[in-house]
Amino acid sequence: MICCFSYGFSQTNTAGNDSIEKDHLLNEIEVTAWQQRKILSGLSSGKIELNVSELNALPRFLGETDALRTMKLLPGVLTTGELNSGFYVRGCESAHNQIRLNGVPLYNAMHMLGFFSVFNSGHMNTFTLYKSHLDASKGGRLSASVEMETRDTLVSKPSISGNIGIISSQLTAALPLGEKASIYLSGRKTYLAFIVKPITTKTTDTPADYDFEDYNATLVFKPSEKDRITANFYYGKDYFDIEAGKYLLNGEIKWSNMAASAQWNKNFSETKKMSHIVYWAQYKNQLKILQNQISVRLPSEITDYGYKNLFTLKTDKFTGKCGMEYIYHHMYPQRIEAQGAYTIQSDPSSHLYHIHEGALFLNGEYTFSPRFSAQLGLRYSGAAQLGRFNYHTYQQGEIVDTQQYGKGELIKFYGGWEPRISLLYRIKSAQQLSLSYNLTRQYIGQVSSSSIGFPTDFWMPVSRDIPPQRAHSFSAGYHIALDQRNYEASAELYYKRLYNQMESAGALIDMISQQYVIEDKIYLGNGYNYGMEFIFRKNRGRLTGWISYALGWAYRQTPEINEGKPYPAKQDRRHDLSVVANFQINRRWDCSAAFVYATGNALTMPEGLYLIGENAICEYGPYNGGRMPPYHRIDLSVNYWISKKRNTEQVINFSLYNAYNRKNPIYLDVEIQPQKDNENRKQSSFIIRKRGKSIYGIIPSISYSFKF
Amino acid sequence: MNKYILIPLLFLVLHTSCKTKWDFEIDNFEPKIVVDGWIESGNVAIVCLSQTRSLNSNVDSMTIAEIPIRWAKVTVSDGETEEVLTGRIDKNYTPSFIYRGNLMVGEPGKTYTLTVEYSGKTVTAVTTIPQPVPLSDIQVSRCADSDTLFQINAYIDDNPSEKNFYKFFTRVTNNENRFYASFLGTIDDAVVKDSQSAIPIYKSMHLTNTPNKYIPFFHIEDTVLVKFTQIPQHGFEFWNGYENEITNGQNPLFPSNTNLKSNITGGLGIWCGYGVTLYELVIKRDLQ
Repeated sequence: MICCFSYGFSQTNTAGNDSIEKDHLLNEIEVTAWQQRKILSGLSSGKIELNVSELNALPRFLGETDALRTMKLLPGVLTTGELNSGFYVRGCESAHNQIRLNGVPLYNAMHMLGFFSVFNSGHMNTFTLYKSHLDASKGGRLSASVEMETRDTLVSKPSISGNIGIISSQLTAALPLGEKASIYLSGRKTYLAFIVKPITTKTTDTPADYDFEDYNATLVFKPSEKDRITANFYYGKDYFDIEAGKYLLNGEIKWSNMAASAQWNKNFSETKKMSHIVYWAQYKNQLKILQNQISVRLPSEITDYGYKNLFTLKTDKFTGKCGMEYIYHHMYPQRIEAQGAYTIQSDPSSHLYHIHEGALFLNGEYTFSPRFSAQLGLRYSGAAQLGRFNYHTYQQGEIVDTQQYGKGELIKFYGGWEPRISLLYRIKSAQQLSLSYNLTRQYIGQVSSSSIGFPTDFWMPVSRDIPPQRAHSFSAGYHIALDQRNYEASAELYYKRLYNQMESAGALIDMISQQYVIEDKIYLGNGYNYGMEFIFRKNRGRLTGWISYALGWAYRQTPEINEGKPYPAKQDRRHDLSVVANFQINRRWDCSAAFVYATGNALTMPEGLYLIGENAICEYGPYNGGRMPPYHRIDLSVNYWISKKRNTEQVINFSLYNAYNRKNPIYLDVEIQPQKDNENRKQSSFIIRKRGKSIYGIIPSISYSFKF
Repeated sequence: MNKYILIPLLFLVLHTSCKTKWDFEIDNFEPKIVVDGWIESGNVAIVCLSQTRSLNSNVDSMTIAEIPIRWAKVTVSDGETEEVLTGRIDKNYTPSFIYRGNLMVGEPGKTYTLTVEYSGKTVTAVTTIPQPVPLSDIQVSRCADSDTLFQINAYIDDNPSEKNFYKFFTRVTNNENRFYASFLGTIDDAVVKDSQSAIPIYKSMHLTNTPNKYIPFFHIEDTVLVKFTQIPQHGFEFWNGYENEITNGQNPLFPSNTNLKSNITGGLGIWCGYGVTLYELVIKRDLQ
């Protein structure tokens, strides 16, 4: 379906360029059948590809193009609102989505609490989202798969591109290393550190500091026509610091991703190829507080060592894939460490999880006739928890028994088959029906302790007491293209049944005032999501864009919550609407706009208030029984192209984020304050304020992008 | 116990955010009787009664004089004798109306039953006063990086062979007329490793003291009364949730959204017995 993104945009952007026009026509003539399938999503309904270099045609976010943020404008990918680093697909939580950078899983793909993705658009090439059908080579998560690929073509001469904005800037250099190799180097950094600290120091008594940066390097080596070797490196971090003089407190929150990988692709022939990838990836987050010579840390860390291979056979009517993958997860979920006058000693062998996850897969796709094709896949996945690990049994906070597992000793193994089926029937050349069924299993989940998807939400693997999550997913879609594919529309229905979903049962105070056993603070339950999605898109002409709408329900059922009755999941979102438009004014000017509207997240609403010990206490209603206010905003963007040639371009972008300055709350704050009587100056009443706290209002931005 | 310092920081995170009015309707709200009552070793019972208030959009203030329940019958029984508490105005409390015992004095080891009858409703609760436990030491020291703020540390002589829960209360006599729960002063003995472990005692935080200006430390010339109590398990469960609610009720990182575990049958709040030991400290300029 999404090829029409690049198709439509390339039409718009390359008008008047003979050489590119020619390439495009050649494509149409040579592979008409292929292109038809791609436009209509092919066998994989719900597969969405974005060409990152074409994102200029869409509204920018603070001057930057961002594929992950653009993805949130698509149907079925729900708008998350501000200060939310996740994304929700078809009612599933954010951690049900796999995000891979060149095949390497990333555990937190956003900077600035969701404002920017970690993907530097100058370094990226393509972005693919699978939200309906996953072939058997993909797994490890219950919902969508997002694959980001960096630029990997050989360059014959050096080039440089970049973006200079008011919040951050980025630079990418592409350099040839002889005829058979090239290297891409990118960096991005915000200058918020130079702005936030001085302002907060002058205007508040709690000076704050914020910073993020990321770096990419890609080495491409093509020793022969049939071999390609790429090595990738990524590092990105966010840092937030705050001081509170009156508390004698200094606190910082930082989180980082690092990934290194090497990939070898070999084409044995036109029909046979293989790829191997080895990688190392690390995700860390840490809350650290210093007070009065005392230090407290709340760290969490995941280190992955992985390998994946894939063998592909492709003939006219058949495409087969097989392979395997293996990941060793070395994980510290959330724990607390304290040093100073009083040191909390905790047993490291009861916090460090050694999880070995693997999968074998086989997938076949066969075209029975021009109208009918089918895809069948089978995946066997499993995960084992191995020692060294100590399981303590507590009674009233005291250890009464310890079960010790030695190094490499098997503690628990989980595994199972994952069948995948997809059917596609083409009614006419421009209409098709698709059906799919997937069983997926997930061996690492996220326990959400924050209400907003903060990095302090921690990842938790399967263990002796935590079984893997699994989901049955069904979807049915109808797609139609009109006016020689200038207009497209599609509708999809989906239903998901989810098992072993994790809910946080622990309050922060429990970590502090008593012995904290992480597995005791996780509730397990089941759930179901269902809904429908629609999109209507115009692909060509001066005005392009789309309208997408999703109607959905997402419920969970956990014995310990809401008396065991079903309750809305946090991301249960009844309506989600996105309208995106781009208008080409003339050769130099184009403009775009994006409007989003989404039902508010579910939250546990305070319904009443009472006083105890001269403090206000809230009385809460049913779990997730309330709603945040609807989220909506409009973003506007104008590009002025100083120059626009095949290999060089310069553009100035003016953008307005949240143009009508909507204060979208991120959480509810109930505040109570004593009020003094005007006459006798004695406290006579309490003022109650219920306010939503929001972070971003209107944000104007200007940026300059270039490519030489 | 230094990990307690995690909490105040979370107050500060995101404090720079914008605020927008947010009104909502609560259907079928039923007010509940709220009990804030206690009986200490060597002292009479005190009970403050009130009702929950709806957070509907038309509710934006509470008049303090209207908060307390003034016409309830409040009875405390130790299984042998029974006493009806007397409702009276007491300016040391906000709201300034309490029910107070006259004759029955709390004894460690005894169980006390509270019965409140009001407007056709009856709520009951049972508690026990644990044995008082003396501190092995209590010290005052100057906070690092400050010339004017002081920290109090307590050292608990916990009996490792039995399960204990503790709670601190403080009263700065210069400006407080009664004891208040010490901020983050609710302790499970599982985190008390030995009698050499310093447990910080923070100043109490409450609305009627210094809203928005709360500082957890003590100042020069403060005379501080520290009440160290042993509490029953139901008391710990309530006060532990209470700490979470008052510190994280506005914290989106670790939000509090669960109701407090109450031992009041038919109502909300806490009826708790305390085994009490008292300490007095004077913060002097020359302390290090």
